[in-house]
Amino acid sequence: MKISIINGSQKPSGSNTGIILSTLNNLLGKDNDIDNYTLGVKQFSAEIYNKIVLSDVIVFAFPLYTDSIPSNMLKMLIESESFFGREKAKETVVYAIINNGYYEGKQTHIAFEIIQNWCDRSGVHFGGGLGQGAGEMIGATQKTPLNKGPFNNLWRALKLLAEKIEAKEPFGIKYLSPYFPRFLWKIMAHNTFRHPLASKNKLTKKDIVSKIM
Amino acid sequence: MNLLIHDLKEFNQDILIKSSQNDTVIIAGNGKIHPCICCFGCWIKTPGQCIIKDGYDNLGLLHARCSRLIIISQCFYGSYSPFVHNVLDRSIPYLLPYFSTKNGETHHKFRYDNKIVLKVHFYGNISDKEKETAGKLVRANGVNHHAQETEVYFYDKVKDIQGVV
Repeated sequence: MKISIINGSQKPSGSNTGIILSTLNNLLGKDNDIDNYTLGVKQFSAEIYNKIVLSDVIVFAFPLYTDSIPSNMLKMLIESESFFGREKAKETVVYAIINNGYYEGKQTHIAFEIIQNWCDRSGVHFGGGLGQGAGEMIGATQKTPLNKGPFNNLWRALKLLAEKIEAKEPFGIKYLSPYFPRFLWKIMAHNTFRHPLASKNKLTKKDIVSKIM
Repeated sequence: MNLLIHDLKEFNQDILIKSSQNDTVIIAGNGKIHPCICCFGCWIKTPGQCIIKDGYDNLGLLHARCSRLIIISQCFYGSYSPFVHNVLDRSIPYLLPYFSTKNGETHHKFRYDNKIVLKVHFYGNISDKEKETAGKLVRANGVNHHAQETEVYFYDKVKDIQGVV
């Protein structure tokens, strides 16, 4: 099985999408022919597009931007459309893994529709995927193995997704939030994550909420 | 103030802007906009301002000053064009890093008190399914951009878009 996995994060390093994809790679059987691509803020060459369109399965993974797809990944989807529309594309199955900074995985539902609309235009099959909430927490808790901490539901979903990918079967769309109460997640995001990072830049809480007029 | 974001190759001000008030700021592409790299610099280094100095680093401030946000964009798969999307992605300094809960969903708190009317004019070869998606997207963007009301319009051809301001 030839599988192309595309990380659409625009972060230069340390993306939460990358952590999820690292887990997915480990869950996929070693007999698969897997190519991992990181898009970043650049575009793929025609050579890479020509390799991707020959895949049995394509996995798009990215963070939610503006309730949708990051602009550079959107550009990549538009450019890639012309490489599909061939006989081979009819057999390709596309899955998506979308994480977002809000707590609720359900907030990725519009981005899933956009991916489905791209599949319709490109002539490939949409196989479903995972919409994950509290994406920043994945990076913040990465010392805890994904299958043991608040994201063990994500790990189990990825395991099932890996099975469906290898069978090229529909997965449906599953929305996940962490096994962690939302009010505690919010406190953690405010106090543990934002404030210390701002303090390093000598900013106070008042500075963080300042208005520039 | 009106804030007009567009991706038109040819911008005819006389046709698109009918308002006699001279208070419209126009954001257009110059081919040099850098994608948002999700560094949070606009929250934890220079609050309210993007740290990428490419001429699009003041979008948070422009959002804060506007009462009407008008977007003209080619529609791709029910979303915006990459340029317009990029401008919106780079507008997060308008928001705070803190969260609030609205209608059972978490969203970012607002840095500013202004409320806006969000009007989006999509053009291009758009399927019914893509129109449905685009409507949902604009409504969701409205929630995140403090919009009191949102309006979405679709056009087959750019020349049909007139008097948006």
